[in-house]
Amino acid sequence: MSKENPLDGWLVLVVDDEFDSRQVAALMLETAGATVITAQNGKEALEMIIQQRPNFVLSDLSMPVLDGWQLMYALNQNRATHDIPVIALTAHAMRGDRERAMAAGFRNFINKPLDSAKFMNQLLVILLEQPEFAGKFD
Amino acid sequence: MGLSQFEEIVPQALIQFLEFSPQAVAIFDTDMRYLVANPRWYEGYGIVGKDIIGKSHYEVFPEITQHWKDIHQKCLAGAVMSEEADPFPRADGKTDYIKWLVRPWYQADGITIGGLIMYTEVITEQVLQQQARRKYEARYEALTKGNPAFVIFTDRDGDIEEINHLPEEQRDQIIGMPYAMIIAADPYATYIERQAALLMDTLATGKTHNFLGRGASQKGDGGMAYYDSRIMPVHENGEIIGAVIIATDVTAELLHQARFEGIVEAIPELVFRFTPDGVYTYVKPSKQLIDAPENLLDKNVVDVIPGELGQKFRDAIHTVAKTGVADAFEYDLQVPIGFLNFEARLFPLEGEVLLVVRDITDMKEAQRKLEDSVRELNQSLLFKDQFLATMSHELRTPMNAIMGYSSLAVDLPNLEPKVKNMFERIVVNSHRLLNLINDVLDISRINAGRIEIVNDAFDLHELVRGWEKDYAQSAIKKGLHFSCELDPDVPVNVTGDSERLTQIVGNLITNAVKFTDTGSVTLTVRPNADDNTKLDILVADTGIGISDTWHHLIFEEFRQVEMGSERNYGGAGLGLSIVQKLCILMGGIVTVASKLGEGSTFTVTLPIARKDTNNGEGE
Repeated sequence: MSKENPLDGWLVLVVDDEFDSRQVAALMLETAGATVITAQNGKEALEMIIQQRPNFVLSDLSMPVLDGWQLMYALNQNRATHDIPVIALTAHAMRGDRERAMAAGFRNFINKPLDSAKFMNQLLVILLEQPEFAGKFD
Repeated sequence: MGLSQFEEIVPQALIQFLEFSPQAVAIFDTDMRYLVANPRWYEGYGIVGKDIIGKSHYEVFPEITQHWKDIHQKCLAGAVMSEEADPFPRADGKTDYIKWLVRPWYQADGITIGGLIMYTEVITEQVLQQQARRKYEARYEALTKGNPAFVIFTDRDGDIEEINHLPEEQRDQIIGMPYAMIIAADPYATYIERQAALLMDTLATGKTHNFLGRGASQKGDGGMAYYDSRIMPVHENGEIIGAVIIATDVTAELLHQARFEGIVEAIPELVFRFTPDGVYTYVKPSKQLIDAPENLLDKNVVDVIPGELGQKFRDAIHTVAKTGVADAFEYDLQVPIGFLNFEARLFPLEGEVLLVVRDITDMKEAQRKLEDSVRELNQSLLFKDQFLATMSHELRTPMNAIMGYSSLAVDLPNLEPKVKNMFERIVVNSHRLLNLINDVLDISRINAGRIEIVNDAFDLHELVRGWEKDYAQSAIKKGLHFSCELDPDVPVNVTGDSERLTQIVGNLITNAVKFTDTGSVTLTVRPNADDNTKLDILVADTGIGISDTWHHLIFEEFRQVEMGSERNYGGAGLGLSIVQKLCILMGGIVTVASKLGEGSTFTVTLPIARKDTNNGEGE
């Protein structure tokens, strides 16, 4: 695994209702070597997760149809999906949002806007903390 | 001239002398046998008709005690004995008082004692009268000398016969003087004059008069006193033989009453006093009252205030009087212009109940308005919160596209240097814009009072090391030396708001780096020298510094541009304002020491709560 492409071989799902937000996150992840699939809301995401089982999910919180909170709840309720790591990706920067997200079952919380270098640092730190990825970045 | 010349007439006279003597007289021989006794003796000792001559006194009166027998023997030996008022118990249990004299009589030789002469007089009545008089005198003494009031007796002409409470000489001067004459001795002449006129009327008509007036103080200190005088006739056998004036000093009561009314009148509220049954005893005059006070006095509150309210007042008055516990309630009265709100407060006072009534209509109205505006304010704060949350979200979404694409573009391979530089400038400026957005949102939240300071446990040393790592880069990138000094005495486990602390330090270091072109930025964290429950955080730089003129302004919002530094360093000037506001919210202060051209040192002093390490273990 090259240092430039730490996510080589990873399948990552990006869920966001905003086209630019989806594309920015996807481009950054692809730069790091990941294969990225995208969904526009929680409902689409749920189907893709079940069908394609990505390594992890980056999801916005505020979305139409099924929002990030509902997606998280649905994933938790399903034995087949409750172990999929989901990281919140949101423009909600009010205090307490992080705590609420962690309590809801998100593995962590990344604030928008994203700067590619900062984002990758932040994401890799978070991934390193997840027990299922232990040893993956050695 | 010898007795022999009267030998014929004297025995007859002597017999009659004995017979008509008011005293009982008896003569005995040496064996206490009766030689002679006058009729008074027979009467006095209840032996009328008995033949006692020649019989022993002790035979006639077997009850005679040894005490008397001893007296008789002493007198037979030559003594003369007497008693002025000797109690003499009678056989029937009564006690008579006897005045007696027992003496020996002598034979013709003048030496030999022939027997005894006894003179006795029953003076029981006189003794009892005397006792009664003494009792009256004692009572009189008590009523005059022991009476705090002045008691003055006059004869029927109005001349003073007796007066209490005056020193001897003064009293002696006054006795016998007409009452009206003591005017000279009194500066309150009208009082005495009036009293004297009433006295003369009492003496003439037998009427009793009451009079309240101001006279000289009894203390004799030249002060004045109020006297409540009662002038009464003294009768004897239906005849007026004089008068008595009883003058009571009521100054204290009057002052008390005056003080009460004085205090009460100084109060804007309506004031009433009631008996425990609800009868008005005092009503403060007031324009607010529909009835004049004199129309209310002696009436019951239920007859003045109709319906349930009057009943409520009477019950409350009764309860307060009984329990001695103050009470208060509010009530409304309908008047032509609407409802008026009143507050009634009841206090126990000297066996009565004091009622203080206040018109609280305006206060109630103000309270209603205040409640309305608080509601509106809360509503608008809620809108503001929602607005801030929405704004924050909505600004970040396009920011994400700008920052995201430009930060990706900057790293694209084979970029023309000019284009790469443009992307770099977009990245830098998108960060500036983000900081500005964050600052504006923060300051809005702080100003709206919608910011919370949390109190979580954290490792302060770890936090400081994190700052060192995070902020060193920006300084080093600018070619500055960065150092971080963490005093080992700084507690490790503390509670507080680590995020806000980071925001404060971040703002200060960003500022220091921004205004420093060469030299260093130093972060120092150490316990406060004066108070080790406080923490000092110092951010020192070797930058452009701030002139004294601006020191007081730098913590104000949007000041940086206005202060007109020669070069624009960018930023809206919100950073220090946020630092100061956060410091204050956390109970601390931020100060600056700086000279133009010599760099600046910002010092944040904050209370820091150590976390109990015993409880903190394993967390």
